[in-house]
Amino acid sequence: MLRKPQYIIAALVALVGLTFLSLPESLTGRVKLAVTGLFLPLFGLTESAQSAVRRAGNAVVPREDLVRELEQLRAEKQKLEFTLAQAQAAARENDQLRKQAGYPARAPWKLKPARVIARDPANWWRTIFVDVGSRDGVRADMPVVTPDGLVGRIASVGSTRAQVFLLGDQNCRVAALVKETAENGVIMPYAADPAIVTLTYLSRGSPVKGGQTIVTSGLELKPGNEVLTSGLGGVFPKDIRIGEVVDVRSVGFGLYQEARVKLAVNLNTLDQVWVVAQ
Amino acid sequence: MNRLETISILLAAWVAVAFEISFNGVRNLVGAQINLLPALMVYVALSSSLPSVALLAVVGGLAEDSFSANPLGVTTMALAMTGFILHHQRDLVLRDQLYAQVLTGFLASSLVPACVILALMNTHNPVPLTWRLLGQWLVMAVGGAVATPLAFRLFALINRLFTYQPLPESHYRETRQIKRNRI
Repeated sequence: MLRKPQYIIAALVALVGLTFLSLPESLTGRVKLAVTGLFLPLFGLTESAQSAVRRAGNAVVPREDLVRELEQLRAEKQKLEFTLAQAQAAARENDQLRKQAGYPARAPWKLKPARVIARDPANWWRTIFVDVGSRDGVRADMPVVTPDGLVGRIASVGSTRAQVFLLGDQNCRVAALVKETAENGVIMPYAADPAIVTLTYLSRGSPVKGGQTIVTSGLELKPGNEVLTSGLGGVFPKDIRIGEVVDVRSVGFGLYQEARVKLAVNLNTLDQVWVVAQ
Repeated sequence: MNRLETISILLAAWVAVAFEISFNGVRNLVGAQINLLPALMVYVALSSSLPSVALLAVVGGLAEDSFSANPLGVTTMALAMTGFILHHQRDLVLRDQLYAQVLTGFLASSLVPACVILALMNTHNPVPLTWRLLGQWLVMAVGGAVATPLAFRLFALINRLFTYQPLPESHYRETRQIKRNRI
């Protein structure tokens, strides 16, 4: 049987656990970020190791390959300069038209680069830590993106680190629309596959008479349709790519439709991300 | 609980959590990250004192929950419960045998996530029970079973390197000394 000192130790541990479990969420967030500070040497070590590997890799690349790549990049740069000039002209035109129509001007995105420094050790959550924090102007609920599309949103912020809820996590729900049909829905987790999310609460489009289909936009959802952020809800800006529709099915006894969406970003191989400071 | 033991347990917990948050090889290969803290807990519970079990549960649990969306303290409770049960039954476990280490590692590594998921079921954000979760749970249990004998061997090495090893007793006995004199 347990002896008296053992009871005391067990009670103490239970007390510590229960105290942490009963703390308010804001306070636990701060405690969590403080504890992650103990792992700062690891983050530094990882960064040094990665840069050392990069330097070693750079040292062994033949000069011919570098020159060839440089030429390709120069050609690409020139092409992008033309595209940029066209985009700037279009943006100017858009601004003028918005002004004439009385719409407010669109604020350009301020992007902050961030490196992924840690992943959630629990398999049932989908979060990462990035190496930017309040010191860099990052705040909670800011969207996180890569050039391929949406990654997630900032959950909690420390001075030099921030936790990000990834797409497909239960805490990251996104107002989205299908580009081709303009159907609005909500992105929810899909438990069976981490590369897929569910776009739910889409209008039903079910037949009411033989051969007749009610679809609000006049178009039907098809596999391959592009899914973007809708901008509703105020957290995510409009038109960030989320992924593409894999298949569609009717749910809720035919009340609405649900589409499985393959994510545009591979969340398992994230290394560099961008925080959108709107 | 001596100072070396405390330091080595804390260091091992730090390394285990560091491995889990920064090494994604296993996660990318089999779709689930293995948890090394239960394996460590098996060693500590079977070979050390109850304060060491409590220390590992609190420090390891807090570190793991800090990098996770788990409520803070939930892993501490699960680890502590597993550790106390093992420590209480330590006389019944043949801790030097490989199969016993593997089996206790498997049981501890399946009990800890099961307790955490059970606790999360009572929160406002329960974990959905799916076949994928079952597969991940199995991977964690098998990973823990493999890691437990490694933890035993690592700590045996540390003990050999850093603790005082008594010299083997000499066969020389003064009482049995043969004294040769001139006849």
